[in-house]
Amino acid sequence: MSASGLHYILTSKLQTNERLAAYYDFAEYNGEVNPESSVTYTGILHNQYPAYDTGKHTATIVSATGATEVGVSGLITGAVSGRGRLDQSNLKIPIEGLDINSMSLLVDFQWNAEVENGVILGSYERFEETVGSVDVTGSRGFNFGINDRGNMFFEAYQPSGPSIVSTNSIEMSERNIIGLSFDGGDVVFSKFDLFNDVVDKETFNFNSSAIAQPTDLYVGGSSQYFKSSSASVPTVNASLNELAIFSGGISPHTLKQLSSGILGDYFYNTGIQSVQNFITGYTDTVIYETGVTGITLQSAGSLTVSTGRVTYTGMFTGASAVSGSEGDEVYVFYNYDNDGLKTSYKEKLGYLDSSNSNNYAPTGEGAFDTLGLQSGNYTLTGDIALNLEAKLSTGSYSIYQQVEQTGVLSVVSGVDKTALYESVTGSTGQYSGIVFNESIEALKSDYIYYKGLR
Amino acid sequence: MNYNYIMSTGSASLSGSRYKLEERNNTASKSQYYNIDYSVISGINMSRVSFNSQTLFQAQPFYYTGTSQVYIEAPSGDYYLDFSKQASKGKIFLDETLPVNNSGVVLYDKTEVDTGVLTMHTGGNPTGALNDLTEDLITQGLLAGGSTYSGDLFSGWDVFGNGQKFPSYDEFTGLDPQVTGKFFALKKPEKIFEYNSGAADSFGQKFIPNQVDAYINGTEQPISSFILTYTGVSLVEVGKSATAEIYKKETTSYNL
Repeated sequence: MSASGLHYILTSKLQTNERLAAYYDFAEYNGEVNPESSVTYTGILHNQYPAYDTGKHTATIVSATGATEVGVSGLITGAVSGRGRLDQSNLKIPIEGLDINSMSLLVDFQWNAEVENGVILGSYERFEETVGSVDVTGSRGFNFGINDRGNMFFEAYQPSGPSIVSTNSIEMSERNIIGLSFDGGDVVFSKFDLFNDVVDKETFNFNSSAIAQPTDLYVGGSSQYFKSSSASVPTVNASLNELAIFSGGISPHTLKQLSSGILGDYFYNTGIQSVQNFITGYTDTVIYETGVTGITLQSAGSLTVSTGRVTYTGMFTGASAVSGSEGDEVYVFYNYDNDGLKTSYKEKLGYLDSSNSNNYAPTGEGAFDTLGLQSGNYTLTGDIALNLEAKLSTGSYSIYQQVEQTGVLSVVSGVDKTALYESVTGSTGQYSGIVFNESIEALKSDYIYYKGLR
Repeated sequence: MNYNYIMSTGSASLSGSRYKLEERNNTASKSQYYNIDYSVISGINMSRVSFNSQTLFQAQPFYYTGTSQVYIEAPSGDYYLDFSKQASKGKIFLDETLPVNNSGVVLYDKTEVDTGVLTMHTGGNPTGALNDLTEDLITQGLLAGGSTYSGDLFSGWDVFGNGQKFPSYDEFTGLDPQVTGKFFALKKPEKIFEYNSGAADSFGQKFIPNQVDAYINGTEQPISSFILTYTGVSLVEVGKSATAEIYKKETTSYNL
């Protein structure tokens, strides 16, 4: 049982819920005390989603009336909690614009005990009055119910007089999902066999356009029924699971499809989500050439450079005695001044001491030792002292190199096109439908009757 | 009288109890042949057919190509179905020895795919030998189904002798050994409750509407002979009103 299941079937088969005038799911909603009632409290049952206008057709729980809210709440619970117990109370549904000449019903009900006759939905009234000098009989409404044999009947007044039609081939189960449809010319009874996916139906010619509009519909009773004195008296020992009232005639085939929504629950499997990108256009980007735009110098390090002239320093000595050893190397400088052109030279001199009498004997194994050179004092004669020093100035200088600068030139080399995308999230493998979670044992039959012995 | 009802019980859920493809108790129409709905019986070895309440055994057709046409041979059976040509679909080809006339009634059901097992018995056996021999021959053919003893045979298979269904193993063992003819077994459908009693009416066992096969003394009965309903319905009871009150006829009327 689910409103979502019915809504799914409604929108998939009838495109809209506009045709569903009233819907009462007794498992989902158990009624309440009418908040507008006072002094005498009454119980009501709101029209439920997915009915087109849930503000209309609020049902009154006829037996749920009393002086206290608590008391009425208890009566409501007894009458409609979980199921609409038609043996406890009838329901009164205001017509509120529903066209009585053309409508359809879906009823999911089950017997509380043995089958006995009663009205499931009634509004039939018959009255006699005198018009001028003529006695006439008028009527309005209809009765739809079950007889003692378990067959559905439809009763209303026709231009030719009272009329009643009854099925004879549709057999009841403990629980039954039945349909009624009339739209002017025919009244069609149906019972839905969801096991075999078939509709048991019977059609009778019936001029329902001649039915006058009543003010209320009674679920479970009627103003005009042979075993009840008023519309408030329960006539049928059964319980309602769900009741749906549609405007206009609906074929039994479509009613069967709608019945699967009443009995089942809607489900939806999202499948596998995926994102797809679709190219919606391109963005153009102009590309310019790149190249050398100039040159810059940058430091490449430093270089140490010696500069200046070599200068010699020394001291004029004339003649000087030098202590040394034979074999020592000494330099003797000489200066010349040739009419202002000055120059100098140096001479490398060696010395052997004459006091040694040219007598040399090796003194060791070293190179000089083999010569037998000896120590002594000698005198050098020159203009300049033996010391010589060169003086140069040194400095560090930076070194620079040329570096080419590159950049974007003003020359166009081409256009780069970038695609623009729209991302669309889609699903694959998604599916939806109706799943039957209800216990279906009561929908089965349990009686085989052999006609051959009778 | 033995009343044998085979009821489809289904499962606890509606989806596990749907039998749309196994429509039962279909009646074949008669023209030159008996015609069936081949959207229901869509192939060979998936039908159960009875002719005037006698259940028939389906033969396996063999095709031979001659000079100008194809010949079909269907040995060891009571009927065959031919789906090789469009013109043959939907026709039941009965054995020519069957007494076909315009008043004959052919019922057919869709079944699970099953060839069944057929054995011929020529009689002349001592008491008890017939059922032993026949049972052995049948069970040999049912090895694939695992039926190796009598109890299993009758719980999983419907056993027929000359088209008459044996309600139980007891009737089978009590058969006159001099009986001759065709004995065969057809696989029982799944999810069933089998009622077998001397009482005509069955009540209390839940079953799916219109999904009942009925045999009286082993002969299949059209389901139109039965009312399948709810125990709460009083079918025959004196004094109950079958309709609402009939009002007196009025001479003039109008609607307000």
